[in-house]
Amino acid sequence: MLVLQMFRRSWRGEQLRLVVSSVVLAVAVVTSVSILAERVERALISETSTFLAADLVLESNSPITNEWIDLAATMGLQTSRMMSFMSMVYSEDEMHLASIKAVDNAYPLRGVLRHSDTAFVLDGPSIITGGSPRVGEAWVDGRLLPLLDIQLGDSIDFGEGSIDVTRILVEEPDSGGFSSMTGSRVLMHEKDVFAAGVLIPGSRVKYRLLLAAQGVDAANQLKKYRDLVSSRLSVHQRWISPDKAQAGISDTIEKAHRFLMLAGSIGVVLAGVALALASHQFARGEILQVGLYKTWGVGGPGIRKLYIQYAILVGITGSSFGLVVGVIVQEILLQLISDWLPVNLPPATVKTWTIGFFTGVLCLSGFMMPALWHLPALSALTVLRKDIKVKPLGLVYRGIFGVVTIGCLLWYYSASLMVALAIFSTFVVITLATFILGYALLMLGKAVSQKFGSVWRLAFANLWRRRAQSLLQVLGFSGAISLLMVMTTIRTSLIDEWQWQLAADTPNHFFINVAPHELEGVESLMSSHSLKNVGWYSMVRARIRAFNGQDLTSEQRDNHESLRRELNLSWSDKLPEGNEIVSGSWWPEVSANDDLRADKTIPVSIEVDVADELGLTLGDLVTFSVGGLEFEARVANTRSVNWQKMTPNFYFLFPKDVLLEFPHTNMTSAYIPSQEKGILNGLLRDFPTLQVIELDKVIKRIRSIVSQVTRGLEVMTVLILVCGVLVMFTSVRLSMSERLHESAILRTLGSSRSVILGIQIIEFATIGLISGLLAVIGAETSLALIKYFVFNLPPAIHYPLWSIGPLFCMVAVGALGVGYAKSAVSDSPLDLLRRL
Amino acid sequence: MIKVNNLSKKVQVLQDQLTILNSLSFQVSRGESLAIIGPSGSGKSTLLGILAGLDLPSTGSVHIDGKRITSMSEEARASIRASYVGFVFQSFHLLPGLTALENVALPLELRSESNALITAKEFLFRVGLQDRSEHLPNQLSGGEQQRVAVARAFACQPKILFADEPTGNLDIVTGAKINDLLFELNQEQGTTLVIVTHEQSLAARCARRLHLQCGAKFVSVEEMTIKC
Repeated sequence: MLVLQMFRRSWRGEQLRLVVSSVVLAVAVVTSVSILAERVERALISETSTFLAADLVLESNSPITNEWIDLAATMGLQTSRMMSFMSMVYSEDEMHLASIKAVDNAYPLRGVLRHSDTAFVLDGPSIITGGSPRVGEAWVDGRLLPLLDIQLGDSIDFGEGSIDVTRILVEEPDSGGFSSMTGSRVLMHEKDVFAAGVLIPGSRVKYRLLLAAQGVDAANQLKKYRDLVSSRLSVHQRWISPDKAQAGISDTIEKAHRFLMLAGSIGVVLAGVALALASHQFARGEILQVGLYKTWGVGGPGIRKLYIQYAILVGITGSSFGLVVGVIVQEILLQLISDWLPVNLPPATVKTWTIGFFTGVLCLSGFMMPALWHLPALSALTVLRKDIKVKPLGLVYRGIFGVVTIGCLLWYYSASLMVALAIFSTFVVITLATFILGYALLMLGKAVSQKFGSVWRLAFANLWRRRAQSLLQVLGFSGAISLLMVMTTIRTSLIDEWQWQLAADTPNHFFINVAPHELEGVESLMSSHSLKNVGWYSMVRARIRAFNGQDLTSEQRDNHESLRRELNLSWSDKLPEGNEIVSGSWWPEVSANDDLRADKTIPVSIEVDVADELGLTLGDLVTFSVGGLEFEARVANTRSVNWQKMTPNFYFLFPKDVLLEFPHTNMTSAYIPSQEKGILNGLLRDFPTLQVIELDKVIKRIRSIVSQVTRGLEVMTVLILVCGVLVMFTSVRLSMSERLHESAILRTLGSSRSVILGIQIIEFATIGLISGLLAVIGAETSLALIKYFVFNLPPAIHYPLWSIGPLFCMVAVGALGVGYAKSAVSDSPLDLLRRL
Repeated sequence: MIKVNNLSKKVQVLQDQLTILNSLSFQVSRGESLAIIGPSGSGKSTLLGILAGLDLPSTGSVHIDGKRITSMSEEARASIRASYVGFVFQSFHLLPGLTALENVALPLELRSESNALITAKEFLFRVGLQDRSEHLPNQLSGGEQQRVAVARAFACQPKILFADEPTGNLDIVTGAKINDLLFELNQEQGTTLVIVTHEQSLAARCARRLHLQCGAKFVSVEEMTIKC
């Protein structure tokens, strides 16, 4: 087949290889990103299921009817029952309000229990994975042993019976939340709870029905069950799905996912630009061939057919290779993040592969076909006369094709209109800046160079003479570089944001319920062990009674969990670290004066999401009740809270000392290295009412995920850098044959190699400098939009970009250009002239 | 074989109309050789382009083998070129990425000829380049490149061969060899040869010469009695 012959022969030339490389890269980038994103997303759903110990959970304040459990079983779903409540446990004279969790034999449906015979260990050979407590057994938090002064194997009293403490619980799959950890955990079989007779009508018990499904249709099965049951749920019953189970980690994953998609979009745009430039070059190289075809009697339609077949072949070859490269890259990425992924990662769906493949085809239609479109209409006279003008398809049409293609790719791959618009606006800004600012800079350079030596004059005269081509190169370079800047900056911002999670001394234990008279003792005990806490926060337990003088209705209470339970109020003079005012203003340092309290207009600061949920705005009055004593406060401000900081945070904050007259306890958080966790034993023995929340397990997990996600991002960054370099290569090639030709003529006329080299250096360095400047302008535009709208990061000027960007581009483009044009000085002028 | 009747070509240059060819009429018989000579700018290449159906005249007509190509569409003219015409160019116009053999084979492959490579090899042998068939154009001398171009032109066995300054880029000795080759193949295949040239010796070997003068006011077709 002729087209195969053409393809095989053209492969010897660099132009076709660049075209195919661009398609390969475009497809590889989007395939690797899409496949990875899809597989990881599916894996994460099953992974986050382990935070729930199930794929889906139905939570209820009353026992879940057998009818629903049976329905789940008949639909082929796995089920497990669980209940949790607070109850006293005793051992001789010691007692503790424990957080009891009772499960059946099927628990957990997802994830595993980790347990040991040694208290306060996180790792090591003593840890056993799997199983669950049998009837008569209790698996407990390590801290319960010092609290009750017992050893492993001792019995503890619980209700009307007693139960043997057989294992130390190291990790529960569903222990992610904070609230569940206020009491020391005692995990037991549900039969022991019934036997102990602790549950009486009115007991505050949370019942959970854990559900899991197997197979490819798992998601559908669960959805079907959920749909069937949902309509019959009361206001005291709710679904908990994996995505809601672990807000902290899912935020990290979500941002990494968005970054991956952003990187994918940038990659495909860069590869598209490279393809457009390479196709432009390729089409120029085909002019002679098409002219010859015409003289040999091949008509326009025949030539069009030939090039369409050719483009299809390029598409199939490029897309196939791209798929292979994409799969390899995503496998590498997966290896890097494999530790936190399940062993059996689900394969990608056919759809993802197909879309990857068709991305290559779309790139060709949008970028290559317009570049080749004019070829069949070329006059055959081009072979006889060099003065025949070759008119490529109008820039406007090519622009429209390119813009539509880029728009489609961006919109699809970023899955975000904002990202698409941000990158798109980068292009618009850079294009405008190139043709206005770039033009002006070239003109300025030409004028200024008159005052310098002949090399400068020649270099700037060349740039000016080839200004259309120079500006096109500037556009290519600045587009590529700005997108690389956008990506690396966001990557750095994200990694910085996650840095605290990676920091070794992130607080990993919360200490709560410290009475004011114990504060000094606890503080001194902590400092004697060199434990540094983040400062003490006071807590007052209160309920909300009324909004703006109107008592809460039962409907309001039913709709908002925070209105049904006691809340923790705290006070602070300063806006806590990691908090940001959203509306209103923070109070002055000395606001807790008598005047404020006299007219009961105590200001309160509310976390913005809670305020929105409760429908509270600035100036609203909220009535709080603390143990029967009521007081009113006015909403002074709303603030956002970074919950990922492992420091105490509160929904309601008051000025300092306003709440002093109410009974309060204190809390703090601190970092305890795992080998020093024994300190907790002494602390809990000396201060039995103190409660410790251990977050070291959660933090360890987050840290592992974040560090691996970061590594994944680095690989993606490298892949996108390759796309950027490809664009730069194709841009450099734009003017290469003219440059070599001119250099050969100059050398024939007696110019020295140093003059030729000097001209090349000045030309490319100037193009690099201008590109760098424009790239920074474009990157800032894009970053402001993406950071603000996509990653919820505050927009900022990126000074390093301004200081390093243009200089780096000057050196990089200069080196790349001169490296490419070195044959202008290394080869003999005769060779050059013969070759061109 | 070729019949030209009252052919004129005018082009618009800014506000002026420039006459390149003015009322040309002549005929070229089958197997005959014709040299188109004249100074630069006299319209030689323009005439060649029109004769070969690559361009259209402003007025007048060209018939090839009785078919009036000047009233045909581009597609129809392409079909005439495919059936009748071969070209040799001043700057060889070999495709740089293709070997000598592939360059010769390409027009045959475009016609879907099954034994394109075998035919191409035969013609490379005919022009004495059988040992250079796998060389790329930039690995060949100017004379060798033009020999490949001649092989490519004759491999299609055209009825008419148009040559545009075929020796214009070559030294005298190499040029003479190319000329020998052109005329040998012309004889062998009975091809009608139309050559645009500056070179008197080449023009002298043609059966007839068409003198174009600047401004195209004076045109003469000189009969030659001396055969090559």
